[in-house]
Amino acid sequence: MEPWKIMQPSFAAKYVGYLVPALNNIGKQASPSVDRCIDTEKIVRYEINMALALSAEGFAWSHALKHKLRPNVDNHNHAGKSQSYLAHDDDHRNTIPVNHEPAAKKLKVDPKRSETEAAEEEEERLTYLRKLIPGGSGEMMVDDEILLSELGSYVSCLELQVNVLRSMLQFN
Amino acid sequence: MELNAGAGGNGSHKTASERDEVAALESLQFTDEIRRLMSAPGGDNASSFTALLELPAPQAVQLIQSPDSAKLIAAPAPAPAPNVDDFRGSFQFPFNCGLIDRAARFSVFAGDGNINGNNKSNSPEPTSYNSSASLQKPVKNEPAETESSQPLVSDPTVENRSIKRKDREKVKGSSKKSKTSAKESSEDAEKLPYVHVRARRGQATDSHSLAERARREKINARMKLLQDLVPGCSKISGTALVLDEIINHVQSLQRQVEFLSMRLAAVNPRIDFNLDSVFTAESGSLMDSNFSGMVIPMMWPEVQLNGNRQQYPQQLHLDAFQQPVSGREEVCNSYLTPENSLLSYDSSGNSASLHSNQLKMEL
Repeated sequence: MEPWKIMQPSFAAKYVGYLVPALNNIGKQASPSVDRCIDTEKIVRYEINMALALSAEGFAWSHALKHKLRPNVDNHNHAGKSQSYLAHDDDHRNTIPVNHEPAAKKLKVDPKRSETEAAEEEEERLTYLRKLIPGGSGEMMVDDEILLSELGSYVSCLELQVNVLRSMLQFN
Repeated sequence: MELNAGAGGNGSHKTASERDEVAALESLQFTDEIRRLMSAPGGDNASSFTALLELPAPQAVQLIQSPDSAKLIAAPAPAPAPNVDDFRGSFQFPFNCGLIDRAARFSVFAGDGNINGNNKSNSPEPTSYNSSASLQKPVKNEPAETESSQPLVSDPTVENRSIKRKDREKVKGSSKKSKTSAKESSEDAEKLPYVHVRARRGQATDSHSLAERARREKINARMKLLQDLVPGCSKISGTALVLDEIINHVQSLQRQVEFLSMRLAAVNPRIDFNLDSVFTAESGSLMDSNFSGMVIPMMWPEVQLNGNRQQYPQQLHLDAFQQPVSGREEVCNSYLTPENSLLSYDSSGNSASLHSNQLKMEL
């Protein structure tokens, strides 16, 4: 069961291969304006996510992420896409305080909970996870099994992405 | 005699009629011994029984030959102490199978602590008897039995108690039969964990629940993989908690990506990224990560489209790394350690596509 180790290097290669030139392009599009910092951030964020989506093709979440970034319209509008991604980000930020809720609920629950209660809790967690993973609420991931396997790949790719980004920052 | 009276009062049972005859013969001889055993403190069952065995030979022989009277004696023996099994093991002499049967059944009875409570007092209360009876496996036969033997309860004799015990034994025997039938009919009356499991499995004969179980097992397998993937999850038991951990991990990773992207954006205008240095740095960091739990799904239809890829800026020398070769070959072997030699592709019809990485799910 080592297919992921096989995908690892190709992910890194693709990711960097996409991101580095994109970032370089951003740098070259020098336009001295006040908003540039924010735009740069958005653009960088966009490119980072696009790199993720492209480096891990073949997953429902990467498919969904790609479509979220570029809703299949052939306009390469960075501001627009990063707006939508920013909205996605806001979701993340909004969910951070919400994160404490499941933990709190977990503590309040009687350890001798019945089966149905445990199943309900599971369901809660799963719906929460659906919000976290791109495309989790979509039709591809309705099945719990698929959701869990997508989660596995998503978590792995996120970790890879973090490693790539760290090394990019470290050595540049 | 009391014993006779007690025995006579229970004429409805055929065993009682048997007991009548036997008790009439030996009541006189055994009463003293029985009383002695009754009054024995919570001592050794074996010792009290072997003490009984020191009876004169004819009495012992009669003891052997009459299972009922032996039961009379065996009955008070559990009284002081609950465990008749000890006492059963001390049988040193041959006896007939009926005796073994009854002794065995008595041991089951004696396993119910309430019998002792019932027997210790010279005047057993009906309530205690009823409670002991009710604590045994509830079967419809029992209430009938208890009611019929209630008149006996007031008699403060061993014989009565033994008769009650016999009733209970009989009830128990029948209750066992009805229990097995109950097990088959309704699956709610189990007390033993084994029966619980069997009851649940009985439901699996339904095809729908079979599918449900299979699905459940698959989900559990995926959960295990996720547990391996997320650090610190392997010790946690319980799906909800594991999912909690996964949620936390995903959120922390997303936050890290956010943070790093901000840093990158801050750094970006000033620095020209050098690909080679990035790759060499990465080869070390990537191998450290734990990706063993990764499950790679079947290809998605979108992957077959070739159009989108070409829109992105790609440097020429990178294309070689990004296009999976059909068949099983290494990718990116020029600069990364070739430990991961095999790439498994679902090459059914899609290997021609340049940009599709179809990795098969292997479980």
